[in-house]
Amino acid sequence: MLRIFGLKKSTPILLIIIGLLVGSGIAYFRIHHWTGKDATIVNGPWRGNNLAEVGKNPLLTARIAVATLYALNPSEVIYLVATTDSKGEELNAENDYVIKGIPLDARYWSITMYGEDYFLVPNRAGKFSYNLDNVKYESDSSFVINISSLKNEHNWLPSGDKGKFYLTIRMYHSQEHVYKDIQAVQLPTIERVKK
Amino acid sequence: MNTTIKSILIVIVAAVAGYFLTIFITPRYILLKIKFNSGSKMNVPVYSDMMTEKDRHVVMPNPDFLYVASGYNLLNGPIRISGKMPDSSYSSVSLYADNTLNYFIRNDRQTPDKKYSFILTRNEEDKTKYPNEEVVVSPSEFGTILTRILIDKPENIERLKEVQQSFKVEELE
Repeated sequence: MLRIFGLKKSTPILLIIIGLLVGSGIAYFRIHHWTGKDATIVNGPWRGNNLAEVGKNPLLTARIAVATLYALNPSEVIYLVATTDSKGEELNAENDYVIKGIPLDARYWSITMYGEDYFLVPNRAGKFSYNLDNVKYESDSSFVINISSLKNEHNWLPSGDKGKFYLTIRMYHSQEHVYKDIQAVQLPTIERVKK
Repeated sequence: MNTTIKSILIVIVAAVAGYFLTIFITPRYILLKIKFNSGSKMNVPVYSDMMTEKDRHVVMPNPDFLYVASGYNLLNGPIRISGKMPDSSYSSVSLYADNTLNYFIRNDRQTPDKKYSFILTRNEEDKTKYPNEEVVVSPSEFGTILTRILIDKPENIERLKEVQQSFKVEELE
């Protein structure tokens, strides 16, 4: 029974184990190392996938379970993630950044910072996000959010001291044009600034 | 057939199997891990306070929301899910299958009287058994119920916590 294609008795089992390990390893890497390169939604530094495919696309389903568990359908929420600034450089807490944007066309929107482990970044200020109601707007109705480990009086989003981080935009009940062409929506820019 | 080719074939077939097995198992494993780590019981809601960096059971929590979560188990029959929604703030109750698929959502705009109650079952025939109630058929025996309530203003939090506490899960059999 253990003989496959006439190979020695123990060889097939060893080959099967090697194959399983290789296959599992590739799957693990593809699930856990989402870089946004295969995102279906791309707008500046923001990347996203069509979550309507969750359940139909097994790889996307596994990725969502790891990184965005309990995400809602796109008809309810649009999720976009930035792992880089607007120049394509990886976001890192050793740097300071400014997020500049205009209010997003949704019933509720927010920008939240997560650590590399996809959990909220520990900070003494207990501040993890800004949304349409608590962000302070400029005189022209735009907003500027300052990401830094050092305290800032204006829309400060504490970044912790080191390590990669991610930013997530949530848009609940977006307007029709957002669903139709998310690529055309003016999303916030993320610029690295000097400390 | 050459032994080397045979060996490569075996490795490739096993690798493909390992790849798809890992992808299939991952969502289910994560749900099991969350259930084990949280220590919560099935069909029993867990009412969370505002999310902070200390909440590390479910990835990417939204700090603007109050959550109620409950794992569900339909092996012993249907359950009734009921609760209220706030007057002005976004709220929703959503259902996830055991592969984390979001197959049902009801939000505050779809609930004009700000109250909801429905039966969750595995059995299509329960639609005739409970003719006067909304019946939702789950694609799996196990899954998760998640309620979100947006904290629109900090001064509303106590009122919203009362809404949060109205969420109930009742075993019917």
